[in-house]
Amino acid sequence: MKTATLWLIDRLPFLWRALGVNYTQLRAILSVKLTLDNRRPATAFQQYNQKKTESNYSFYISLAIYAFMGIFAALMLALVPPAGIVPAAVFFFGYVMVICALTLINDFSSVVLDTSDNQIMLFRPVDGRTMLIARIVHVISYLFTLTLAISLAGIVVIGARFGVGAGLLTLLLSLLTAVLMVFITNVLYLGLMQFTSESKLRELINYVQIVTAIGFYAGFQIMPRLIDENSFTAQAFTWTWWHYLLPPFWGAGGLDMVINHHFDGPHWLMVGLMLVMPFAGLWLMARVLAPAFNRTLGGLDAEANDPKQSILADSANSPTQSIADRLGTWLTTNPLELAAFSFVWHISDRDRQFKLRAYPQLGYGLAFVLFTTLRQTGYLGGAKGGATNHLLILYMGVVFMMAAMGLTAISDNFKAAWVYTSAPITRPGELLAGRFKAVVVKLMVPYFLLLAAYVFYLKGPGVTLDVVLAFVNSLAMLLIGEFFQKRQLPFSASQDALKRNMTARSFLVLPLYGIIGFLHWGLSQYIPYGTVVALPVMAGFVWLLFRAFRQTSWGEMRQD
Amino acid sequence: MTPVISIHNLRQFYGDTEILKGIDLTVAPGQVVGYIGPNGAGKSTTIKTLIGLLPNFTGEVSVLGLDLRTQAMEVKRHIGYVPENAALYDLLTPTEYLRFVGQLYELDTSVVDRKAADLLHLFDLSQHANNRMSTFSKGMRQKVLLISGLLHNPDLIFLDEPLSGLDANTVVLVKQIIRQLADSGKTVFYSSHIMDVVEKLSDRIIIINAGQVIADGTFAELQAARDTSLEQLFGQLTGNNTQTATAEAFIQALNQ
Repeated sequence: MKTATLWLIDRLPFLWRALGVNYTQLRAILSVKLTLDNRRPATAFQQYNQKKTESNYSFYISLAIYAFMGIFAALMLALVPPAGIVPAAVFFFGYVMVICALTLINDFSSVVLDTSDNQIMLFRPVDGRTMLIARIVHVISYLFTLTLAISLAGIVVIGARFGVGAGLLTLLLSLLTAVLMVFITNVLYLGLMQFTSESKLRELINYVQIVTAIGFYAGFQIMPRLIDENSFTAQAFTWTWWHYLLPPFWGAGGLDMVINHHFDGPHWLMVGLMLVMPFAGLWLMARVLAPAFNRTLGGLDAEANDPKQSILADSANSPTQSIADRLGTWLTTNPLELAAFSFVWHISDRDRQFKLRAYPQLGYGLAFVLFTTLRQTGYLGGAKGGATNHLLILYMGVVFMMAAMGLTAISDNFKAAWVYTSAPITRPGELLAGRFKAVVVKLMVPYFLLLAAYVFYLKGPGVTLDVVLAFVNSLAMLLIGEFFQKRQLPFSASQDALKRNMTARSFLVLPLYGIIGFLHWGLSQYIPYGTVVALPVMAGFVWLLFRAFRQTSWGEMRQD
Repeated sequence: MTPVISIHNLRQFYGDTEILKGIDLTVAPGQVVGYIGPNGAGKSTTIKTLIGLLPNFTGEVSVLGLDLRTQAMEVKRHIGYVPENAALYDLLTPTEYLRFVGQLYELDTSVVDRKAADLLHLFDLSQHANNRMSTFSKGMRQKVLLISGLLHNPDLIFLDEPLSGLDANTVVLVKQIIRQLADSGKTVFYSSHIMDVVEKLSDRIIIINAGQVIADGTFAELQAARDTSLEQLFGQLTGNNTQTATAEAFIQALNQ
């Protein structure tokens, strides 16, 4: 990776000159960045480094997964007759674009918006342009590898059907698409920086990330349905003006030109757009946008370091008593529990990393529920299919809630957890109980209400009892989940600890969840008044579990 | 002699808050300037402005005879800066990090490597030159940072709490280095909270409070009015000489 990127950098001195970038510095920065990536197992490119090994092992696994998914994107390219290649190619390039955008927004925004570099480089004679281009090339080096993996199947298919030349063209067009997406996302960030106050920027990007992540997930669910049989006709594609605005059509036009020998004006225009736009974008970023970009980032940093400002912000944000404190006093029974309750409540409000990890999870859950049920009602629609359905929806929630619960134990700031050990805490279980209550009240109840509302919308009020029992059972499941895993104090563990814990736990606990859900279904289906009887029994069980959970001692915490 | 730093009516805003309220300063070459003030007085902001990190200032600032607004890059090339609790890429080894810094100043790599090895040796870091810095103590990192700020042999050096985390022997060594840098005609501009150090090391002491310079001169000059230590003087000038009373109130509040 490092050698390949640097080799490529060395081959392009004319490009750097044209962009006005200092080549020596660019090479030095990139070399250091890529070295750091190899040594750092899990920060900048988290998604790719699920394993705690020093190698990029998991990066290659995810590449393999992308390559595998690429086969489906290339399927249409393999099946359509040559004359009907355009829709298939649009789908293919669109897919490449979407994956690139998703990756850029979710994984690489931390690289583009990294201010930690500022403290090391900004006061040295490196100009903003070189720094921005170094970041972008750093991102592109990963994105190219990814794009290669996604488009591999497509390239092979096109190459086999229409010759090596067409295959190489597909490769080129895919890579250009990747560069174009880098440009578009950067413009997005720069645009956001122009219009919002600097301190809100990271926060805002956080929400943009959550929304796009959910949006793209929903898109994947819908996309297969948009392809109909008409796509497979041999009819020549008719171009209209708006096709010139959408990048996937540029790439498709390029392929169409070579495969079907349409060497006319519109096709040349599209190939031209595809060739010129990425580099025009790079030039624009380096020449026009870079100075503004780094000035803003410098500002972000100065802000973070300014003691005065943080004091002002604090005094503005702390009214006499917050909702968390008030809710906490009602819902908790002792000071330690209250402490953990409001601590979890506040941090989950403010920690960007928590929000970025937790909320997309919940959003995926909703999207998943929505689309699976839509599909099922489409195919089955029968009353019996429906009965299993609403329980499935209700119990789906608990899986995502488990994930959120796990996240309240981890923090990037986990070293601050020394306070737990230096304070004279005799029963850590009370802290755990407070954490549990905070998650239930703040995340689970609203989430479950959403699911319940959807169930009521589907089935009417007749299922009230099921909803209540499902909620109680979900609480039981969450508690059981906590008993199975290593119990952690709020925000006291590192990210890696969660990962180590996660696999073993899900193997043990998930079948149990299945059993509980299945029993509920059996009760409601075959035993009259089954749910009515089960409700108080389960409620009592939850109460017992919670009491035991609250009495967790230091010995049971199993510290590292 | 042209001044190395010349500031005229420097103002720096953060949002609507005015952090620096019109600073005027000239610093001649070969001086050690101690720049002190309470937390939030604007020390770091002044230094960050002078090294070109905060370009949105008003007023006239020239550093090493170069206009900071138009020639910031040239200024950066000739100054050194060692930030407080500074970040460095601690997954690199000192040798790798210093080579990287050298490349950013576009110095010859072989020269940088040799220089870095010598300097690390003088700071007793030779055995650790090829270990990753993630295992280093605060003092060891501070040594690497000091080297990285001085590697390109700058004419003007900004130091923010340069002695933090260093052991007693290294403190003496670094103080000597600062002194000899100044004696060889370079200028050292540093900020610190440790008054004893400032008192002994500085040719000139500048105290700022709430974004304004409130005292400026040699320690002897500052002492002329009142015969006290710098610590007490600092308290009087920054309007906070009620420490004893505050300490009593603090104890009382604890006992409540």
